[in-house]
Amino acid sequence: MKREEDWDKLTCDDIIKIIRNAGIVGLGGVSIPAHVKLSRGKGSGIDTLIINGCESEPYLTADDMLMKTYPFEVVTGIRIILKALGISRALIGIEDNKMAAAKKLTDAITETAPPEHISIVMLKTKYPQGAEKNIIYSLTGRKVPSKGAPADIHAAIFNIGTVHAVREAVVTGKPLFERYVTVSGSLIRNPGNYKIRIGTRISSVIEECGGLTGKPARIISGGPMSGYEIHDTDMPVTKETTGIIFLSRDQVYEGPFHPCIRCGSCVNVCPAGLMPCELGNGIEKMNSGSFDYMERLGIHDCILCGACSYVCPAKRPMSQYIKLALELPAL
Amino acid sequence: MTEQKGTSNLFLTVPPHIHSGGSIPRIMWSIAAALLPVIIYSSYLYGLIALGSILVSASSAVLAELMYSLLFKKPVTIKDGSAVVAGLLVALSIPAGAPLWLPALGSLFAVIASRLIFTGLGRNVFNPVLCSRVVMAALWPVYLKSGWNIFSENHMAAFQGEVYDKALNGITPALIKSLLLDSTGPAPGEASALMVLMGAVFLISRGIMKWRIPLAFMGTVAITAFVFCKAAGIPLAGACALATVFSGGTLFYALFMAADIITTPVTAAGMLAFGMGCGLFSFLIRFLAGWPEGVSYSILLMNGAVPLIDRYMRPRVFGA
Repeated sequence: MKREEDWDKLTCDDIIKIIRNAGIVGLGGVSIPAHVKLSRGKGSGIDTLIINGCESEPYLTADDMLMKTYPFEVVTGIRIILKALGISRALIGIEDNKMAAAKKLTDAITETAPPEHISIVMLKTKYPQGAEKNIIYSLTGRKVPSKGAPADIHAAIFNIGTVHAVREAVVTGKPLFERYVTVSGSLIRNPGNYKIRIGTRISSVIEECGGLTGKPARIISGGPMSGYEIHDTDMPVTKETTGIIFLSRDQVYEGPFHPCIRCGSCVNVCPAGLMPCELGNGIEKMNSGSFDYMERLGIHDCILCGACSYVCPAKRPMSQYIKLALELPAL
Repeated sequence: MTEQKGTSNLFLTVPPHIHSGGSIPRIMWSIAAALLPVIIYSSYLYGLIALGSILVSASSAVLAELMYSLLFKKPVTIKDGSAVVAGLLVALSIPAGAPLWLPALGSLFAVIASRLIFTGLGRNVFNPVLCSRVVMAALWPVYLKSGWNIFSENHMAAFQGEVYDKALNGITPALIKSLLLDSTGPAPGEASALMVLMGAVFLISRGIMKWRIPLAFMGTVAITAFVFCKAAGIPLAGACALATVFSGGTLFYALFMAADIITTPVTAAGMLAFGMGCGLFSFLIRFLAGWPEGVSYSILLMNGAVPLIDRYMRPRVFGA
């Protein structure tokens, strides 16, 4: 493509085809292919595009950086996705601790003056504000039904990283061979957001970032709330690597857990409206009769955000229990 | 969860990898700290005998817990503070002038009620302090009667009369000062509503207290008292209701016994229902049955209903 605006001449099918060929997936960590969301969403009654400008987890700042550094590119990306979906309304949800990013984006929207209706909504900074169902509810007041998808309530959702990658693919023709990754944690010498090629070994990332200042207790792929531990630094960066976090021993809890003391903290924080303590206690003494009970407690509505385990004073690994139970064939 | 990682790093940990830092000792020692204002004020008000009773009770509870751990070969958990809290609550709820063996035995009962019968912290269905109190009331009723205290019985009667006389003048600054700072009963926990409330505010600010329970409890007590006074034709029912809420041990029980972490519902709606139930039963027992220990029994009764409440008052699942 010759000029930035030339994408406007493409049809929606062309756009979806470019996105598919570029191998673009959701870059917020879940990695759903973007063209699937777009082609399913087209003509299915979707009226609003939600742009997730909240980071999915603490420590991660790549989306914030993208909004601050490439606000015009982000706006173009949003317009491309709107065109692919055949709609003209987009809401960008940004947490209120990212005021600089919101300002840059507002300026970019004003300057671009797009014919579409793109607006920014400031959201309270809290975890998990960036979780799909929660941000859609925060922005539109619509609740994705239990076991349902955003399309059920006429919404499509993309995060900032994906939007930026879509713009690069459609305007510059660049396939998704690299992504922005937050390299952070107290033990890395030069933390920051890096553009890293897919397939780069974690050990090379460590080297490029100035090395480690000590032996990390855990190396996390993703965020510290729901990311997984890396067992070998020869593992590669993938399309779903939102961050690489090096945690020291004093940042993690390693110790025993206790019986539930029924404090209710997990019920209070659960964004899915579940009773994690009941689920955890039930799974602990799992027997064939309890599957039904788990179902009725809504185990399938758990988004595995980890908030319950995070607040639990008895340090109970409830979110892990739920994850394990969900993998059982009986559920 | 707890395996030590070797060089091969084959033992992986599970998310979340970070923790809020909340812990059982933090909760228990915060509760102990929240009881400090009322402990200090009651020691000043009732004299050193109150402090002595509190110290005996707390050390007895710790000792009983230690014995239990050693006898049954369980990990020693006295550092988590739960025994200290149980001991403090026992001492604060029995008359300050009672002989010192009473708080000592009371704490022992409380530890038995939580550890021996229900196998440990978190598993007890009934509030151990109230269990112990009910046992004491059955075995040695004479010491728990409000008459048994360092003041004379006449003094108490005169005092109660004074509160209600003030109430009959309407809600005046004098009434409020008297309700907040004056002792309303023989137990150190009843020394001052203000001190008890200060502890509660501290706990709520640390996010530890299940505040919905005392709110619903005292709200129900106030409303039922108001309606009762109106129905009985007592003038200035509002002032009477206020006096009912702040005098007597009900406030202390609502904040530190009914809102106990372990023996109460975990859901927001459940906590409100639990508090209302406590309030309603307290009213029924106090005004219509006239037993002593009305508040203790109403809380224990609701403790028994907690599994039911948790089952039927679940939060709404997102999107369901």
